[in-house]
Amino acid sequence: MAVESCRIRADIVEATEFPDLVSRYAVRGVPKTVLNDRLFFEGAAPEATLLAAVVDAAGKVAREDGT
Amino acid sequence: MPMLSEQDAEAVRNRLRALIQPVRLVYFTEGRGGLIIPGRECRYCGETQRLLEDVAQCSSQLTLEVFDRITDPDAFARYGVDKVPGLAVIGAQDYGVRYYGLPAGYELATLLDIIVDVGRGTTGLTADTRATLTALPANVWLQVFVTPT
Repeated sequence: MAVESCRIRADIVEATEFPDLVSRYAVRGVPKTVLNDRLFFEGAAPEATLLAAVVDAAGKVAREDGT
Repeated sequence: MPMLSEQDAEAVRNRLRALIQPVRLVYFTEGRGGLIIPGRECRYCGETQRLLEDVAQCSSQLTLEVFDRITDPDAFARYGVDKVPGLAVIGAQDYGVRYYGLPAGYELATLLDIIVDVGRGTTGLTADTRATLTALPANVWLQVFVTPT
């Protein structure tokens, strides 16, 4: 998704090597996706489901920014 | 000693045959020169670098650059990398894709997919998805937590 949009950046994080992040985001299973540091998405998902989560996350930011 | 067995290296070479544009693997490590800050030892930095060296040898389109947090802090800031081991996969442009940790096991396949997509500058996502992503009204930062098995 990051390749397709300059609006997205994507970090893949190997959970066992970063226990502080696992703790911060309450990662109990993988894959777990954190969107904009606050929305969470657990498990593997179809493309449309993940896209909906990304659109939701972007919409929240846009509403907060008043854009 | 290589991290990839000859069998694995052959599989990587086969996967990377799809790579027809240059891709830079920009690797971020700490303690490479033997300088280690107590309490901040990077357990997998050495292994990750050796694995990336092996992967980089599997395609003439790949180059590997290495920066150490102690001696090259500016590079960390420039690429927005804040953890080690960290990897920026850069194609015709920086698409904002970073991989943190040792991409071992199944995650090596994930990394190879990323490299190929970055090299192509596009993905296998549907046209509708790509159009929606292009029109996003604000930035989204995804952090995807994985494990190697």
